[in-house]
Amino acid sequence: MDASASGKLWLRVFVVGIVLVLLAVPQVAGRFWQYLTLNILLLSLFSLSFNLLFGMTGLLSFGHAAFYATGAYATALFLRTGMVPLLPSVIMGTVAAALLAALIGFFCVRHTHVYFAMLTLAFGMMVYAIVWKWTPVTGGDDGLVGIPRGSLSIPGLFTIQMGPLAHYYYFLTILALLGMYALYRISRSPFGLILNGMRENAGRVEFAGISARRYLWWTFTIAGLFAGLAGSLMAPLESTVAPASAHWAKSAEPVMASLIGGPFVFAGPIVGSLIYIGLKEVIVRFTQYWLLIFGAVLLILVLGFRGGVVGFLLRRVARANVPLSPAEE
Amino acid sequence: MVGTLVYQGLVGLSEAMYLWLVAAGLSLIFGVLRVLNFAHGSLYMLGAYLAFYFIRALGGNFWVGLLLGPVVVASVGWALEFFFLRRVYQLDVAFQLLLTFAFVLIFDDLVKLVWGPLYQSVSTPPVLSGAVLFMGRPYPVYNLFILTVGSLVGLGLWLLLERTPWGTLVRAAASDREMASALGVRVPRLYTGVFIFGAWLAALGGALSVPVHTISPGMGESIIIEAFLVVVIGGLGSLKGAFLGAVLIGLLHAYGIMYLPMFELALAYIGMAIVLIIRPWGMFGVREA
Amino acid sequence: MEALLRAEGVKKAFGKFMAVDGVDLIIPPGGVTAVIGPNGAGKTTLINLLTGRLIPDGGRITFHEQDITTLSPSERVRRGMGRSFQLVNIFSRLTVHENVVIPVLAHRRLAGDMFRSLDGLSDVHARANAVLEQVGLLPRAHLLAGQLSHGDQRLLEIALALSTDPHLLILDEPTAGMNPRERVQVLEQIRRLAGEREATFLLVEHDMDVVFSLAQRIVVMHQGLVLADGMPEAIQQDSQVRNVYLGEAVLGEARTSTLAGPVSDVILDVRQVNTYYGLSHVLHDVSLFVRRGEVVAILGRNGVGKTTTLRSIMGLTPPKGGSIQLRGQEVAGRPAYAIASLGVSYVPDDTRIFPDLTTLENLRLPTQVLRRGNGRWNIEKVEAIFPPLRDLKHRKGRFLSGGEKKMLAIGRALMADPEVLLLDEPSENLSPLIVRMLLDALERIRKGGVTILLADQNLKFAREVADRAYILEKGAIAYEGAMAELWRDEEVVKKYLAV
Repeated sequence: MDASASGKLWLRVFVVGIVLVLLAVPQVAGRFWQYLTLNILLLSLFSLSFNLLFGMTGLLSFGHAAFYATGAYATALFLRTGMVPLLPSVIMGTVAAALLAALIGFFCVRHTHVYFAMLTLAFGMMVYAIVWKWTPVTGGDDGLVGIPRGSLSIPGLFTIQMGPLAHYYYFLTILALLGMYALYRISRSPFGLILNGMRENAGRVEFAGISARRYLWWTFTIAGLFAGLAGSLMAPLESTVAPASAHWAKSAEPVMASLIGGPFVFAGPIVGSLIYIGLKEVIVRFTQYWLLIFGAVLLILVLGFRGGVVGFLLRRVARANVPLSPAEE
Repeated sequence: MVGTLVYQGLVGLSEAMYLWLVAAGLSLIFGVLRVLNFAHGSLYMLGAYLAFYFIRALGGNFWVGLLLGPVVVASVGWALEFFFLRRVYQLDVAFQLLLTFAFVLIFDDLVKLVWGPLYQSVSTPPVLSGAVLFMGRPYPVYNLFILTVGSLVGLGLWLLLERTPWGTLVRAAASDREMASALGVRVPRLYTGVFIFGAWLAALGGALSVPVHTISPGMGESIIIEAFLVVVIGGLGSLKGAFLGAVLIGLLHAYGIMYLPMFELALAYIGMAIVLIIRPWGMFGVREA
Repeated sequence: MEALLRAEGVKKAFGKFMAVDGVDLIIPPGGVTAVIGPNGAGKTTLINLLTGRLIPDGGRITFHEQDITTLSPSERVRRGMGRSFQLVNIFSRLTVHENVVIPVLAHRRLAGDMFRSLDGLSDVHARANAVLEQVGLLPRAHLLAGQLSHGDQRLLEIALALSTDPHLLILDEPTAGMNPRERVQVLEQIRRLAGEREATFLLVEHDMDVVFSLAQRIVVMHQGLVLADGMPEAIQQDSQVRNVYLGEAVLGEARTSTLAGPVSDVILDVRQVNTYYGLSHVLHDVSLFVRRGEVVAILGRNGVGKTTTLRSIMGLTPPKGGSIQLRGQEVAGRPAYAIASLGVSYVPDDTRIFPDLTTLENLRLPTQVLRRGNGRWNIEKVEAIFPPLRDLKHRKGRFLSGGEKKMLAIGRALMADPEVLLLDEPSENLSPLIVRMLLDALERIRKGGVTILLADQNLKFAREVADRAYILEKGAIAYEGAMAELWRDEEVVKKYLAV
């Protein structure tokens, strides 16, 4: 067995191990740890969807929370009717986010990277403003409260109430893992390679016979879809959705997580999410100014560690050929 | 009816002036340095807070605050360019954006840390308080003052860029940095200068807003978003575009509040979407490679 | 005539400049056609029009007898066009194998597939490997493309174009920036591919060895038009083509002596300079010197490194190795503005007049920043040399004609009060009248105490002004000697300068 095959085997064992640990958490840990784990999972999914754009395609979005919030609000609205069960609510919330992403993406992918960053931030804050102002639907400043978790059921077969955190824990964990797995598959698909090609050299992709703009639009929509899934899963967990979920400070979270972990390796944003939430847990015990700390962290990452933690480890420890940044000589 | 239209237009125009000062610096910096400064709104906010600080600390004199606030922010701008931005010019554009974004986070919390999260305000200086009757309505003297300052800055910018030696260098470096360097222009120093100047403009806008707008840690973010709308509409890198874009957004807000209060917010975005479809590079923008 | 590709009256203007001014061209299936022509002839613009990077202002392009004039590049590639680029244009942070997989996926309509695993598509990988085998890159398939040598990157570039199975393969300077060994290797590959494939090749190339060893037909472009079109032998005999490459026969009777002036110590000494663009090794151990008061010409066909030599001296493309001394002071590696302040001034071939600045502003710019203050040059003196500038004081650069820009560029460089003036292709694309004026101007500039190093393709022009000449060939000095000697040396001229 050569080195890479044994590496792959170990990786699989490692992933299975993590999944088993995740499934065991409600059995061995209390609400705090369950809650923390779920938050890490949500941010991981959210960050991976962001990184489909940034790490793979090279497009830096500062408005990704728009889709997260859309998923969250839409799901909350369906659940609050009391008529729609949990799973269809989550699915419809996710679809709503994807539709919005398709609309906004249409404007954003037609331009240079500078315009893309600017437009995503602006459109993101448009969603924030709408959420804030459209009080009859979104609850305005207060947001939506008292969102029921509903139940998971197949009529005539079974019904599981999602009220208890442990029940919802499994629902969220499984869907989040499925979402992450789907993103992983995309990164390993022909489409994923084309995205990497576009990050390196969009003009050349065009001369391979591929319409770069159309592919970017698809990517933007898919990224919005998975951000929407993360938001949709968040709403019932918290049982409230606030406008803050659409704010640019929320959009900054996947940016941070991806950069901390390393945007050029698939697992980077996951590791980054773990570190980000862990750090934040610690920092908020000392100061409420955690954005200040993370701003400084971001500064250091940009100036000195553009490969993130995972990139750093792979380069220094495994001596692997990991690119540092999309276009660095 | 006509009276209302004209009056509301004047209200919109005076609000447009703050936006113009920020968008002008943003566009100027992008035009010369090719860097989009996300932290430009934060510089506006810093300008407001520092002006507020100096006014309070130095016995309530508005003019001292207006002078000192922007000067301090200009030196912050110097530090930003000299110690940080300089290191990322050769990197991918994403990292330039991320660097300035990091400063958005830092400045936002720094302001909260120093001045607290609450709203602050100072009163209008006596000379500029009160109102004049305009078409039967009271129009604040301060708005007239802002309109004058905004127009003067526009005129001054035009003179500076078109009629002074420094302006020639700036325009030369903006269109061909390499050739400028071959003719002896010390481009790095020029970059620093332009960034300082852009920062000063933003801070001036912030300081000017102190008597009429409440000062809060969120003010930087709302102005930068609007400034983005302005430069997308006007064309990133064009000062003429920044001015007209700011006026357009100001008027859209003023009339929107009056006639379409539900959609007031959406109007600017709809305007931007239309421009993006018809003229993707903005009214006065140039296509970039 | 049966045509694979047909261009009819194709035009493209950039502002006022007609880059391609009504080109008719028919490429029949099969064979290798080469497009040649001096700098600025419109070759690359034509290629960009044919491949969809640019859309023509007028005219029509058909491919397989279907109109493709306004189609996007990706559409044209799907219809069977392939292209390689003048500068390396690959996916440098992907592996060599992945580079080729991208076009193969596109060609097989699999690029949009998100659900299948790429690893499982064994026929795609097999095809990619086959293409890499074809160009000899298979042993390096696992490397990141950016880690390849420059020659290998060019091969990869060709492999990318090949992997969509094009009927027409357009290669833009496939051997640019290569060392001789790599060049031979690439030539062999192309010749082999042309031999064994059913594809048609259209080649843009500066290197005459490459052109004559590959092409069955040569199209010569000049000033946006097709000047000549025919078999290589016929092109070699064509007097018009000879004129384009050696200079217009408009200079009248050659002077009997060169501009003899007081020549003293060495002012500029370039030693073993090596310069790169990215990985592309452009200058190989270039050494030359210029004495105070001399006019020295660097000659050579386009693409041999003349411009790069001047840029290296000016500090715009700092050399990676070697030394450049100005009056005995080392300047290699210093920023351009510092070198400018030491008394070197540069006139690029495309003038690079600041379009938003007026003539006066362009002229004054160097005096604002350089305090050399000898006052040897001022606006009046510049206007005395170039009288047409007098009436253009307040016109913005973008509204000047090519000749006016050229005068202004030289005038602007003089305003920096240089001791050494670097002139890149001063006579390029100028009317005979302006060339005449330029010759007079250079004489006056020289008498004003300025040392001149110029790069030109135009032998006749160089002969009029220069005392000594260097010939560059493939980035290295191939000849050096007195201008008068070179002029008499038919063999050298034919080998390095003519077609």
